[in-house]
Amino acid sequence: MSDKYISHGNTYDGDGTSPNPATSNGGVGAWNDLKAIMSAAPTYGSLNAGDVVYIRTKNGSDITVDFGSSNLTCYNVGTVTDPVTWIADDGTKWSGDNGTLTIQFNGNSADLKMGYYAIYKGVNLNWVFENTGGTGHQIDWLQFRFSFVINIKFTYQTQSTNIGQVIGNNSRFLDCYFDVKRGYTSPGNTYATLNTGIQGAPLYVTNCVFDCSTYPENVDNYQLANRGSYGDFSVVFGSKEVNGGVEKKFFTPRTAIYNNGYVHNRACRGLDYGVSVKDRYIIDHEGLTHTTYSIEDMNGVPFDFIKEDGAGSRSWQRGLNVPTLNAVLPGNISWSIKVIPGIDISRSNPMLVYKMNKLYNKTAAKNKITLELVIKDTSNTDHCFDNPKKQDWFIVVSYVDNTTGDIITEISDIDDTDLEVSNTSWVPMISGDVVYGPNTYARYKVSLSTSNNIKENTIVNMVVFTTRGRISIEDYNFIDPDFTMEVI
Amino acid sequence: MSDKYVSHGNTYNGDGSSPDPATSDGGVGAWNDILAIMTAAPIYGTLTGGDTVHVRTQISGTDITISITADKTVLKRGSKDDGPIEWVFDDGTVWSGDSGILTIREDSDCSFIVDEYNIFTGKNKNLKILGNLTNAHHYDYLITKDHTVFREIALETESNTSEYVTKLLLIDQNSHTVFINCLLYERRFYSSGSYPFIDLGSYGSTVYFINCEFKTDFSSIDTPGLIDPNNLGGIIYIIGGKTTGMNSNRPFVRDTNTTWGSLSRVRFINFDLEGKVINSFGKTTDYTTDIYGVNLRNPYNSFYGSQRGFTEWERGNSYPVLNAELPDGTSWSYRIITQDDSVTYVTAPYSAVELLKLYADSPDTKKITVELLINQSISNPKKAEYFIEVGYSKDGGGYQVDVSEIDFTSVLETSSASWDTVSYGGYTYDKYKIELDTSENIRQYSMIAVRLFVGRAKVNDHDYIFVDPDITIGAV
Repeated sequence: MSDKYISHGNTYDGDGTSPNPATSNGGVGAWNDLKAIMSAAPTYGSLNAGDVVYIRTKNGSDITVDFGSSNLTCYNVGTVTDPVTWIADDGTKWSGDNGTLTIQFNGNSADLKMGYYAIYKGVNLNWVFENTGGTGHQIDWLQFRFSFVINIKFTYQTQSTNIGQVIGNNSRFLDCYFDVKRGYTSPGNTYATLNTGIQGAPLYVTNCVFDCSTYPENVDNYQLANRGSYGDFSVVFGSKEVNGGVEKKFFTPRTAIYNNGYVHNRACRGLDYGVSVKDRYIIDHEGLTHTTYSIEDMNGVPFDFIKEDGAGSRSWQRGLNVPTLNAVLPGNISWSIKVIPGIDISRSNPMLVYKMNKLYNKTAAKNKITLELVIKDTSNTDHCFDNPKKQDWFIVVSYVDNTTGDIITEISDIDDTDLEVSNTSWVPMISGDVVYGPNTYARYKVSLSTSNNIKENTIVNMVVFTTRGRISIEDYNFIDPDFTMEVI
Repeated sequence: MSDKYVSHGNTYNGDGSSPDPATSDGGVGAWNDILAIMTAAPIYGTLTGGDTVHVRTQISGTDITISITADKTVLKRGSKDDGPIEWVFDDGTVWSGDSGILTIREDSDCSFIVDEYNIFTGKNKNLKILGNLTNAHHYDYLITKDHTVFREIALETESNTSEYVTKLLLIDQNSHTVFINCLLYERRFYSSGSYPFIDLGSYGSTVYFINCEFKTDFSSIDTPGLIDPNNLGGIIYIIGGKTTGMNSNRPFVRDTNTTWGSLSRVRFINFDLEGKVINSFGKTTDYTTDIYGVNLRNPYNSFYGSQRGFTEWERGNSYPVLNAELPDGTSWSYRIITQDDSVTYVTAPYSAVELLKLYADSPDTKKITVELLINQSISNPKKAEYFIEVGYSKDGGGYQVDVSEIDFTSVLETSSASWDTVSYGGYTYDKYKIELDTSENIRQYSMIAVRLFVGRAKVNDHDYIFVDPDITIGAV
């Protein structure tokens, strides 16, 4: 566990033990060939698990190292308990030489695999991996494996015929910058800027920037993909897509050819799409597969969210003037949840709409629990939302029994009688109708009365289901998240 | 969209249009063979998507039992546009006074298969699918396909006197199935581990168990879990419901592994579980089944686990506590344990928990602190092995994530926080804290999200960490 040093381009190849230049090959001083050290055991000195390797970024001028155009699998030195840390120096070790280190690799027909169990760390993006490939079609030009990748910039090739993605393979990317450039015109479902790479592999992306400024506006391209197909998951925290445009979806979609359980899970908080999420519904993801994604604090706005899966979409975005009733966010902002059921939803394939909780802080008693909602009023036009029945919207309510302490679960009626009409005062309403955009919405409610007394200071949980699928992407429902509890 | 009727055992086979007995074959009246109607087009009358079929459960005071000795498939007749066929097992509403139980009894190793767009609606479990094969293996009593719903029915195994496979339920691949208010009753279990009670099939299945009872007479703990999650990309929701008769040390979810493709998700919500959630997760980084549960067994109990570790709070287990309180005044904390170093390590840390707290003050930078207790057997915990990512909405717009120091040489900062105890399970714990100052002003009325990552593998099974869920937001 020692500090080691690389000053690429020095005259002599030292033993790596000092930042100073060696005066002869094998003498005390920095190694002089970054590619050689990363790809094989050092000729002089040693590189061991747990070592910290400082890499010079400037020697009068910025340092650029050509890693070639052939497959290159880097030297594995790190272990699970003692990874090797590679740090692009910011002038700390080589005073005054605070530059940018660029590793160039021609990913035309080759890939560069970095070593396992490592930390690759830049400072203020002073470490760049650049794909200099031309017109080739190498799928994965750069792979990290079980590593931390921190504050590094990735520059992609520009050809529209080249897939050229970076593979994460159980790695986490923190404060990285992806200069996407590429505009591969047929990305399909499995290719993107950054890919998990391995079945089931988790991929963590924190505070990264995906800059799409330089690739064509109308190309359908993606930032994150899960090539492993089954059960991969991506966790995005912070991060943003810059100049994504409406055609550039952040995640790869799902189409019919990937219909056999190709399930990806994408959980995001704070992700900034850069454009309204309304342009990015999950239409591509509907159907049998259960790819899910969710974004909380979407675009950095507190409490804005979207959650979509094969069953449909639920979202809240402030400022869109959607109908609201009772629910209020911190800061006194009224809100509701927009629900767009999937086209495949039916009585035999319900959509789990939303789960919500409420503290019960009254004296123990039986309560009537009520969910208020509005449904697009289609005026009996044989529309999918006409004449809603109790079996089309039902609630599952759980509470703590005051006597036994047990968790009791009860379900509202599921039958073909009409859904109960409500007369609550949603906002906005015009001439007695709830309105949103060009449409009016009819008011309904779903209720059940608890069989037992609810215990004071316990949580009442409600899970909402619907069985009415939509026809149009603008077939909205809105539910009030602040369900009511009335002592009976 | 018509009502149709089956009165199994009637003399004449009617056209299905009336509950009354037909006076001749093809005449107005109920069909007289439930299996024939379910598995083939009616000889008389029609049955199409959207129809509701009322099924008699008792005739003249005697419950109806159907024996099958070969696979039987309830046909797909419905569609998204037409709707499903709904089979309603009558509770005396249509046939007054005849409220019984219709039993489909499997007298050999066969399956009752329900194809797409079928809804089975019972009343007080008045449809029973029962295994009746003594001392022999019996696979897949019920196989469900996509777009199927079962309400208030019972699935029951036979009473073997020694160990045989009793695999009760197989969810077909790529299908959605819902069970509401159902009983799943296991009288005997096969302990080899290869045949779980409920199996999700190969891939892409979604199944909801809403307010269902999982009952067992077999209290041995030396058995695999009741549910096999080893499905590629599947998801199991267990919402409400309970187990009965389950040994407290027996797992509900079968251990995940690689052989079976453990890439599914299991979600418990408000489930009264007598046993354990799971014994262990498969130890490979390429397989990412995860389990999440809230209100498990007791209100507020929670569980999250994946192949890199698990996190839980369980009331009554005397975890050390610091500041966090539940609405009923109970102090609480999270207990965390990682896997061994085959899957958990510094560059593959366990994402242990996300702690949320409302920030209602004026915009400002803040010092965020997470307090920990770490078992003394874990020596010299490094900052790179325990770090936090803190996300928040910035006052000027956008989102920021700050990360605590990822340092492989420095030990975590010690803390003097006043935990109620530093002992648990006969072991002593040291107090530490992880702090960072936010780089930006936090937006008023927004949520601060703190994610704790643990990259230090366990060596012993008691290498626990306790975390105070109530993060501290202090002045910089």
